[in-house]
Amino acid sequence: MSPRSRKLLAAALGAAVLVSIALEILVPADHGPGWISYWFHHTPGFHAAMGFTGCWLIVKASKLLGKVWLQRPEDYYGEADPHAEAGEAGAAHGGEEAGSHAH
Amino acid sequence: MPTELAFPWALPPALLLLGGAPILLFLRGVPRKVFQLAVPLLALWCVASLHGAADRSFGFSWMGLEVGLLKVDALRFAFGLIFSMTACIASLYALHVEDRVQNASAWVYAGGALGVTFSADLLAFVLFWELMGLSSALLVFRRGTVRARKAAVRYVAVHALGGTILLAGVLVWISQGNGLALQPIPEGSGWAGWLLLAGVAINAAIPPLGAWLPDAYGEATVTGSVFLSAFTTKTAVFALILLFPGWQVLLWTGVVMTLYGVVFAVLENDIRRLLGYHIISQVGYMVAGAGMGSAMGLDGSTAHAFSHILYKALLFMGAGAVIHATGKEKLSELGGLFRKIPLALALYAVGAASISGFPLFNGFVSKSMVVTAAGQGGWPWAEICLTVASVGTFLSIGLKLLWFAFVAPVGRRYEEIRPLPRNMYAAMILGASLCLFFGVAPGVLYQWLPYGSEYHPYTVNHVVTAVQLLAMTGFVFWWLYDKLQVSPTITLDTDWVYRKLLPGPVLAASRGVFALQEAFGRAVGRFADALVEAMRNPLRIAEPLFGRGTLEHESESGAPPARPEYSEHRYRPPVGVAVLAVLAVFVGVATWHLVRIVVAP
Repeated sequence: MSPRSRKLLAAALGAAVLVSIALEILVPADHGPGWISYWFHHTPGFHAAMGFTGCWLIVKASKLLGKVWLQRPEDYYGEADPHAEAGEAGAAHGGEEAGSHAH
Repeated sequence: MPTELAFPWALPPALLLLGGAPILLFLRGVPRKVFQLAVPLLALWCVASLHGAADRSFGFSWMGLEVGLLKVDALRFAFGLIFSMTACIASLYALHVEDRVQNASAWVYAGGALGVTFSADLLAFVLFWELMGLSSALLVFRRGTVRARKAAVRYVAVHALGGTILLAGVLVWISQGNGLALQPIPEGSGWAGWLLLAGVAINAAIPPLGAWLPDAYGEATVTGSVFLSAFTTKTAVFALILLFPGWQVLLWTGVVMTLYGVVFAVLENDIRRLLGYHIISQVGYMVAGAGMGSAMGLDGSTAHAFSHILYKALLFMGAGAVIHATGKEKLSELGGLFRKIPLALALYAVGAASISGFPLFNGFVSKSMVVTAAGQGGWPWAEICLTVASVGTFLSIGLKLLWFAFVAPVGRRYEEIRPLPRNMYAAMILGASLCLFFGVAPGVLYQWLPYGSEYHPYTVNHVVTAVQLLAMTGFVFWWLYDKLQVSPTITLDTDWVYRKLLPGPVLAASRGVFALQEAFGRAVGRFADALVEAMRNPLRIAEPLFGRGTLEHESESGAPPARPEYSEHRYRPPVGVAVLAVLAVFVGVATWHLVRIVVAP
């Protein structure tokens, strides 16, 4: 993606967030009966902040977990490449449809 | 149990698919294709005819037990409807597949799911549950690769364990004096409740019992994974709503599931394993909804299962299209496909928008019900976590998978791009249309919800907060783009326990047992040999015990007898006489009885 498209995309996303925050301020929330209201339900832009931090946290936390613990080389279980050891159903490419005559 | 017989509408829909499966095995060519489309449609029609027909029932007696195969209520109808719809879509998607075993087992599996849904008692429930586990394993096995076979064996092992735990739960439950009826199990039912819950939890892929899901779904056949994505976890959700509504432990388990699936999906490189982790994440919403126990929670759970089955089938169909076209299933080997299969990209994008909760798509109208139920129930942390998990969904499925499979790197070259059969496109178009339809007209879905909650998804607040979440997720994706690059790695999950940790000790232990068994066998053999040798001449044992010659006549001269050589001929006449005497007595007694019977009746 070119730097120009990146800037355009960022601008579009920013505009969408700004418009939605403006609407959030203008139109009060109505969650229907029985709703227990907390401060974050009335804080304009809370969902934008939560989207940002939540997404950042998910990426960082999972990458950290992957690095120190969970991610292993592909042949970890002694089964590296599924295509290298295709069964008698045959070809790696579409071997799942043994005897398919569709093509 | 009353049994109506007005074919085929009074038959349980499951029986149509189960009965059609063996016939499908013997059909070829055009008749096979027609049949493969007609029977699921008939099952769908049959389910549709059950709307509001609470008086319908069907069952049989077996060993003095009444087995109820058909019970209709609103919850069963909603699940039955989506299951039969998906059976139609997935059968259409698999129309080009000539592997008849695969097609037939897919029907047995779908029939099992419908059977579980409409079962009237625990007996039928367990019966169909086990049937699902066995038949679905074939959808993994028939891929034919070594990896798939190994994954299928692991899949069978886990589900056999799950089925056994469930059966144990049922037996304990019955032994406590509860009937066979499928009814909510009160919290604090002791062992029975926990065993039943564990059996269902394995099928719901609740961590740490859920590693079988990405393991098997990543290795299944292209068309089989579409069936798999729909039935196993969602019948488990149905069971949770039916049997365990309001179990608080499920609320927090579900919340953890939503985040667990999202975290693993960020790391995943295999496209179907990635989608599998998002099944776990999405089922988390349904588990949480069941755990809340309120009308909104249970309805949200049902609605989200309905939506989820549609868009997840669509996503698996999209992933299947990629695998069918390229033969590759790892993001690190994909890219640039938007030029090769643009329509598949567009249809996948509809599924991605649905699962991410874009307004006008069906995920938006159902996921938010569960989040709202958390708000109404006074669980703000659950509400926040469920919302954050939806961010991760858009990140992995809407952005990461879509971008790295269909777009970057733009110039990726492929040895061959196989054209996609028209039936695959048709099924995807059908799935995408339904995702959009229920997103635009949620009232159609809400009318089928069983617990009578009232919900309006299209409020200004809901739409703008969704836009904020999605826009900021997009922003972070571009910001952390370099960090999100995929690498050719695998991710450890709890299947590590039975793939890496246990095999060593278990093999060593079994080798030990075999060695012990062998040594014992040799010892028994030696003992038997010795015994046979000794019995050839019992006198050799008798002499040391009773003294030499005790069994011999003294000679007339009074001299000690000469030791005779042992000869079996010497002992044969006395033994023969004894046997003859016994026989004579036996014949005499038998004759006397016969005479008595004949003469004096």
